[in-house]
Amino acid sequence: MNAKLTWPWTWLIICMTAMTSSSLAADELDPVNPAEGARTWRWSGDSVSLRLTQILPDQVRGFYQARGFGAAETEFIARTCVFQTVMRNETSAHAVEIDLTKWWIEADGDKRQLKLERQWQQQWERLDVSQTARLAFRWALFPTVQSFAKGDWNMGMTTFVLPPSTVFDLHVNWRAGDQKYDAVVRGVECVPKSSKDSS
Amino acid sequence: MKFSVRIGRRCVVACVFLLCAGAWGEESPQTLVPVPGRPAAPDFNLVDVDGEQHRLSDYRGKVVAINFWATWCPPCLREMPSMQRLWDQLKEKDFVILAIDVGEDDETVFRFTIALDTPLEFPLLLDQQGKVVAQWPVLGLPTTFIVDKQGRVVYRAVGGREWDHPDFSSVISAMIDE
Repeated sequence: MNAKLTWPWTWLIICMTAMTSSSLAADELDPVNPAEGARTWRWSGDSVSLRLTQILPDQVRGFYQARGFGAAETEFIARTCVFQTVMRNETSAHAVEIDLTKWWIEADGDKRQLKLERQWQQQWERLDVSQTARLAFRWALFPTVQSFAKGDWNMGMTTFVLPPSTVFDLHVNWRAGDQKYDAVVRGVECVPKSSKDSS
Repeated sequence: MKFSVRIGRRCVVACVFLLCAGAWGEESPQTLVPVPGRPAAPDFNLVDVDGEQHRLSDYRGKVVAINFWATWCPPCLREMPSMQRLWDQLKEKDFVILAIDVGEDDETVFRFTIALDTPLEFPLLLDQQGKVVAQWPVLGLPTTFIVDKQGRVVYRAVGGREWDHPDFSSVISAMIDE
């Protein structure tokens, strides 16, 4: 009796979970035409869109040196795998809640976390980077935690401690209402090493 | 020479971010999100690029749009002309826009404004130390809040908007007429 009652519900839950995961895992990898060598990956599904565009090391250097970072500190960032990241709640009536501490990457069989603001700020503190530069860094980075109401969106840098040319899968997840979602953006590639960065 | 190097560097930076700003072109719903409980707006006293002081509480009795932005932020730049158009529509009424630049100096903001096609006539305030933005629930730039005549935060918008969209001007006009 119990089994008869339990099975349909269990099955329904399994099916719903599978439907959510499979539809979202069907990522739309879309490398856009390179502009100055930068490539873009897009993913969209279930009311959310995500876009990652490579930021070239020279662009990183230009941005942060103009904002009070010294050459040595700027190199720390320039030698990291950096993407300009845009996330948007396209149509979900529920707020889309993200927490980047729960996102992860898979590269060469290894699973790793993103390098997030807290780790960076600890590093800047150790290196005695100025408050002005640290403030610019904080606002240029994609926020670790964010809530997107319908129509809200944000843009900022996401950083990954990976060597140049590394290809990785980005596993993202979010919550909307009482539902959890996850998706995989496959085949994202860090900017290849240029001859200028070989030292 | 030094100045031109700095300008060149800033141009590169602007290009980087503008290249990455393609997502803006996609159609997006123009939404204002009601803020639960309509909390009191944290007061501030900031100087603008012309050296004038602006205290938020001095604008009690007016509807105030408070926009947190930075010159390097592409969606911030993109929404500025529409913010100016909204200002043009409503500036004769009880309405004020205070655009608060986060973390930059007056020289940077001034250079940015003279390079714009659309002159900005509303006050551009400077929060160089980021002390004011830290008191507001801002996680990314741009973020805009609409404060009512009683000094309560009524709406917020995360990310750029087309501020002269009829939906926005009608909501703000209704707040002005309340």
